[in-house]
Amino acid sequence: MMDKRGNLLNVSDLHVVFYTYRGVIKALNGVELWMNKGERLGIVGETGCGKSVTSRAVMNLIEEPGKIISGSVVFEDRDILKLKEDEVRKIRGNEISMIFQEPKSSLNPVMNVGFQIAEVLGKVNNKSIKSQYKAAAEMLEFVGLDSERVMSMYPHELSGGMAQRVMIAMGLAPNPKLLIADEPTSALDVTIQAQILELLDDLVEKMGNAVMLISHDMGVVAEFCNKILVMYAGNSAEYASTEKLFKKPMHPYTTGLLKAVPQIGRTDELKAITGTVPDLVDPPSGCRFHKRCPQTMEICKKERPPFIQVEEDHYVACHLYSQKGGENK
Amino acid sequence: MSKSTAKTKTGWVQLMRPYFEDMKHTMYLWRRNKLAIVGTIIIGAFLFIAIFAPLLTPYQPDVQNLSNKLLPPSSEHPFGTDQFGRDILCRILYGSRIAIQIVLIVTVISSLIGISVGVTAGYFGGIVDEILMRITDMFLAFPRLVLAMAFAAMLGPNLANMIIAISLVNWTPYARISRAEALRVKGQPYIESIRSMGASNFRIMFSHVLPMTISPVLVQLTLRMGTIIITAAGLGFLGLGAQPPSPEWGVMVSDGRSYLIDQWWVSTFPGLAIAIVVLGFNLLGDGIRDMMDPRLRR
Amino acid sequence: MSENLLEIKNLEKHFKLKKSIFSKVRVVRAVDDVTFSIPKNSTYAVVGESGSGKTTLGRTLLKLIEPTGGEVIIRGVNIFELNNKDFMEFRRRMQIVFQDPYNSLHPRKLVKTIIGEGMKIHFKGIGEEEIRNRIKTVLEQVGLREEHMFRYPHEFSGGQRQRIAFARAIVLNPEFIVLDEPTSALDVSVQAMVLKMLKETKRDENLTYLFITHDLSVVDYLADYVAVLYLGQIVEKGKKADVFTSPAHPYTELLLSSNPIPDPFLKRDKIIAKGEIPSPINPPSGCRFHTRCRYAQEKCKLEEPIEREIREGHLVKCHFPLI
Repeated sequence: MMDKRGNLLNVSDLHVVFYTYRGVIKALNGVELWMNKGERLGIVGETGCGKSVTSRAVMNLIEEPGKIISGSVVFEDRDILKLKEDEVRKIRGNEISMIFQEPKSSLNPVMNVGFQIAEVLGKVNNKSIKSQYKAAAEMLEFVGLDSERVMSMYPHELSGGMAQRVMIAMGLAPNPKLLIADEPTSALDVTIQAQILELLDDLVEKMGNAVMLISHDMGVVAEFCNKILVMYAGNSAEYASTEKLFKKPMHPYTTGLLKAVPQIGRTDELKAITGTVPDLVDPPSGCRFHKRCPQTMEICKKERPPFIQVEEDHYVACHLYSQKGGENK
Repeated sequence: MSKSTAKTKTGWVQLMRPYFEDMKHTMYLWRRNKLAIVGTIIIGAFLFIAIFAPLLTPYQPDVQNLSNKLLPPSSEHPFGTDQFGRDILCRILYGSRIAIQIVLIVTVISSLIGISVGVTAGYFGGIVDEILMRITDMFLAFPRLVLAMAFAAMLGPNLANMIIAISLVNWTPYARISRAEALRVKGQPYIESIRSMGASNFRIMFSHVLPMTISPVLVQLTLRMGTIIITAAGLGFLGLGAQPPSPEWGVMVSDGRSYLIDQWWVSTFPGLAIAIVVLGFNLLGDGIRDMMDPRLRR
Repeated sequence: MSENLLEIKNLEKHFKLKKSIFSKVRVVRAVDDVTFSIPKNSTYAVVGESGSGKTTLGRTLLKLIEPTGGEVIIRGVNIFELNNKDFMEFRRRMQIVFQDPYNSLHPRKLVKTIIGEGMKIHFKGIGEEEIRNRIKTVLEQVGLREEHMFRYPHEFSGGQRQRIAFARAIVLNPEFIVLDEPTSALDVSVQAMVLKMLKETKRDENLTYLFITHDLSVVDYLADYVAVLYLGQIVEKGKKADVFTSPAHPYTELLLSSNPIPDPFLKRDKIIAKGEIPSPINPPSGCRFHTRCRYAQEKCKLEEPIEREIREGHLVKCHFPLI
């Protein structure tokens, strides 16, 4: 299990909990994921499935009242969870950078855009902020903005799309090995979303960064990523290349999800997954999906399914494909 | 279906469940806030004393005994006696009854005025808001104690008039808060949706906006109880409130003024009582405010 | 041609913005000369991005916002000309379900009170027993159960809350419901259930929907007719099948192309729009879309196109329609 499955990032058996008055929320329950250099991984799942928490945990950014209780996040050959805070800080923003869903609130409202990008560049290149203005302007041109105008603008003057471009400029400024994009286009209109995804696609293609794209939108992930991880209730449910996942979904949750997405030109009736997302203070025993699963078996209630490989580039955590489940069938 | 919806309980347990849940959370936050606990204990003791005052002291608050006058604190008279030989501890204990009476009545009257003015102004907005808020501003323009003095002097100095006077100066913060709350609530989608059902303004204001303004006002109520006591004591001290021989704390402090150098206990102990109770209300109010803070809630 | 339930004629809502007493009054043309008719028992979708005025449109035609011009005619009556008393009957007949399921239900009221409130307003003198029975019926209709009556909104998930909001609308036996992005705050698996419920209830209760959304794939699932809104104006309208299979306006084409498709095997060339959505405060001259249109010509900057019918019931507002 602990062997290296990706040459950039290996997350294994990651457990994160949040302490609240209602009890302990078991937000991540042994998440497995891995990425190769230059790869684009999409993480999809419903609200509360832990996709954002996973991205924060990868940067060791889980804050009170949350806590990473076990697992490892090996970035190249360093375990981020075991490094000292100042060493992690060197990785954060240099080798791994992040862009968020709400670009406007992620920018400092009282500084102009030029300064904020120059600041990032200054930190990356270890130079004064002043010396980086020219590079900052280039960065803005790079993301398709009019640098002369935008450099002196403040975040509130930007539209959502422009702000996200600025965030992308800041995210890509250090030329990170891994760019984590947490729902980067969910707050934008479709035509602007298409622009931003196109831009990101272009830049990443040129620069060769790996991207972890977190999204609730199957369409966005299908169009942008070459690998997809489906998460459910804090678990990795299924991991596959995009083609395999759509052609041959294995986990009943993935199948259900694909049947529930409306799509232009789709003629068959939508099929919803019954039930609701479980409360993670008191998650269901065994497989966390068993209460909503149409193919649930006895073993699903008792034992957590292991995350196993079924074919090349296709992993699934479901008893239908595990040894024990096979015996029960 | 989630676990909770699977249950088929109805009746009052079901009805009260959200309150229980809420209370559980409130208790959790309360336990984490040490100062709020101190405040609760002080106010608890204050209430206890007010209720059981006659059982806690062998003396009567206004029976004079001139042979015992101005005795220093001793085991018989822990806080000493005043110029008429009355036990000061006993008077303080009985005084708490007056204090609590003032606090409760003033709170009720002033919150009724404040909430009605505030909610009406906030809900209707426009010219109604302008007029009501300018009136509020006029009240706020004067220092509270000075205005209360003016009212008390105008109405004539006695306990009942003092309560009216304090109520008249004390409603402004409630009006401002409930106005702000009404302004916020009236823009919420659930108000818009009830409007889309065709509900009248009256209905929306009373049964939908008003209940939502109560809890922030409640916080302010506890925070201001301390101030009410101080104002009442101030007016009593100046002779504009309760009149001697009432064991009102401000009056007692005032009584001891002329003996302050040699018989310090006459003024000091009622003063301390005021300070402690005000501190208690403030700690409790702060604690409640923290608990109500939406950033800590859920 | 089926009978129209609702006719919207030249509807207009202009907001006046005044920064200070010295600056000139600026006007936001949120809804600008919008005309369309909704056939009985159909779902009419209004699609648009932010700033298109789709939300204002939904509210103005229910008179939740006072219109600045135009007519809304239902059964031969212009509702904007009615006095308050006569209008009450139309309040009951025309309902709305809001986007945000977390804020559109009063947090301190029981579900029973929330749903029953409208009945108390409109059916004077109705008995408690009757209210209860009716609530029970509609709760079951939207896929909830009787005992849910005695719960508070925060005890429900987003999808269930949206069902409650819908139950509140249909409890009054309306003919027409405005659905303002009813599923955009929900997860896909829940969205599917709510969409199905909406479709079934419409059939059972003979309802007519105005469905406001930005999500074209949901439109494709639910709607019979579509109007595409851009900066307060309808640029294209017609039967959904016509508009989706052969869009005539470049903006519709762009919207359809931008919509991400969850199918990696479908290879297509995406059209990427130029620039940002302009502000409705100062919309571009001529055709409002010319700043972003890839087919734009000189004429588009100067002259506002007039709406024309390119085939039966399919209208487009463009100088150079694509078909």
